[in-house]
Amino acid sequence: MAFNVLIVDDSSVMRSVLKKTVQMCGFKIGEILEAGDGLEALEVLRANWVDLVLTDYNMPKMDGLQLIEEMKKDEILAKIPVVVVTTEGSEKKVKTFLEKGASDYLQKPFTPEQVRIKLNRVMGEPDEQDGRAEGSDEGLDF
Amino acid sequence: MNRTDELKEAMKDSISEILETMFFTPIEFAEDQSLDELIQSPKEPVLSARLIFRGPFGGNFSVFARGGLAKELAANLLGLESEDLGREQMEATLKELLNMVAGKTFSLYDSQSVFHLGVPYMVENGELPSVAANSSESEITVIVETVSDILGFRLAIG
Repeated sequence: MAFNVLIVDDSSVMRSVLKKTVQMCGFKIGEILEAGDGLEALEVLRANWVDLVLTDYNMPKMDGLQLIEEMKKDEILAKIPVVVVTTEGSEKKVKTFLEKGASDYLQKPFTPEQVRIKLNRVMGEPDEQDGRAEGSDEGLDF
Repeated sequence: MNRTDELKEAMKDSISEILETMFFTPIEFAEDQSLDELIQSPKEPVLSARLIFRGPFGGNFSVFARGGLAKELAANLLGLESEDLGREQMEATLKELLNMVAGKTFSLYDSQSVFHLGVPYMVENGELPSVAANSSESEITVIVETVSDILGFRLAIG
């Protein structure tokens, strides 16, 4: 089954990098949706079926933590796994992400392999036959 | 090692990891080059991004690159040809590079403390630091050399 991913980052280049990386991770991806901040993400989440959210932490208007808090208030959105993709590396901050309800976190810089491992943990192993991107056996390149 | 030396080591480690992992750009540290040479170069205008940070101490973090290298970094990050890239993508790339370097530097320097990073913004030419700025103890500068050009990072405390 293909799943829809929402990528939330105020940097258009990071959204492009993450989009490309997710597409190479071997999962059956349906639609990849994008939002530039937490507020925009909530609008997208309420208007679309989303199976996974990858969100930056440090964003204007509404940051990644506030987005998670808002999602947890909503019965349906609360069930969607959220991975925080961030430059923040302090142990205290990481603990806060997880306590607030993030499923996992990924620190920048990341390799495509690290993204694949995180997605496996959160979403389960991809279907090796149908989901594997062509030419990805030797590892992933951006 | 004092705070300045520890921060400089953390900056160097984070810069090399990020440029190699995300930008596929091998680098060497250019101890003999100065930020002034880069900023005052008549060759090409310099692009600069900056962010404000606060935590156990506060200040700002900046990156400086000439247009050609900024375009090359954007092309490497996005997996596109340089000709397809505009100013907006070059600026967004520099801001993201700075964001990653700042976050990684502080987590390597002190993973127990929380540093709050502001949203990176572009700095106009007129606001670039003066020649005397990088000799101060509260200024840490790291210059790196890529195959095509040099790139500067500056951490100003206070």
